[in-house]
Amino acid sequence: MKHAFTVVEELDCPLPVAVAAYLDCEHYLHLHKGLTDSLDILKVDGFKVTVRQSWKAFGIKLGHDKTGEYFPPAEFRIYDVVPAPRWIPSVHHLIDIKTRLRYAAVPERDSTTMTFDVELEMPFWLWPLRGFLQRLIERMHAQQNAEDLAMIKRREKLVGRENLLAVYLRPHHFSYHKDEFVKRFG
Amino acid sequence: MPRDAKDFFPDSISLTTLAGESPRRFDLGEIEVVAVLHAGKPFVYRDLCPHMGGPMSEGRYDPRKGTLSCPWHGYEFDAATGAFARNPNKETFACMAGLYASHKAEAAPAMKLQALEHELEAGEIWVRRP
Repeated sequence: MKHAFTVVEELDCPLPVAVAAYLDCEHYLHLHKGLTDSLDILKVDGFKVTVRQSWKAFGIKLGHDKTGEYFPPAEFRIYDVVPAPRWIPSVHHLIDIKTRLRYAAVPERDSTTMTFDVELEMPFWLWPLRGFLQRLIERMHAQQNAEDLAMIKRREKLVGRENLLAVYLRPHHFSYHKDEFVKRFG
Repeated sequence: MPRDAKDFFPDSISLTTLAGESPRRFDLGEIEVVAVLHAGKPFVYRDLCPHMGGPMSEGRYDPRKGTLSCPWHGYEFDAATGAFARNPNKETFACMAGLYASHKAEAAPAMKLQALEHELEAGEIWVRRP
């Protein structure tokens, strides 16, 4: 059975900065340390990056593999989420999750609308838990957004809104799909 | 005793507040600084990561490695000199190195925490204006 929901929010930052913050993979393990302990790149295929995201519990590394795909200029999808290692009991054995995140510019306020679509495919007996699962995902998403925005707002105070993007375009800054990002927003 | 306000910030930092192994943030009125007790000595820096401006005071001090790390990207800096020490993400994304023409990795980034000179007297740290 499919449960789908959408979160829409306006982010007080320019569109290129929202996209840059998403692609800025070096901050995932640090700024969002509450959401993951380790990250391993498993495969890179064009705009698709498959990673293993893990947490340490009872001395064992537990987590999941997932594929994230970039649809330039400002859309990101996550799919093929499977438990890692495969034998661990995990919600991902039972629920197929797909997400789609789209950013769109709001020119009159120089801000960005974020639309986050989530699709959960689950067996009928988990259907009563859909509200709980939705709140869990919404909470994680909100936490990640809040951490990213706090970073952006602090930087805005330091360098000014018009200069927020520059650091992401510097040659030594590493990010996912950097060439494409520079081509679109540089 | 209080220092000349022309050369020093008017507020001092009590050494006792640096006990423990966490970097601490102090608002000196005009600037925010991070202070840490490393190898028994206080070190004071602007509370700004030179990479992207992260608050170093919210990062981690590793007494074994002698480093301060930024909470945003985890970049590590020598606690005694402020010099860049290590980018911990390098290993994570090593397999993607060379994938993008627009990315030129730096072998030894020149970024450095801004150290602030200070004087210690009677358990109070007086920070000199930069």
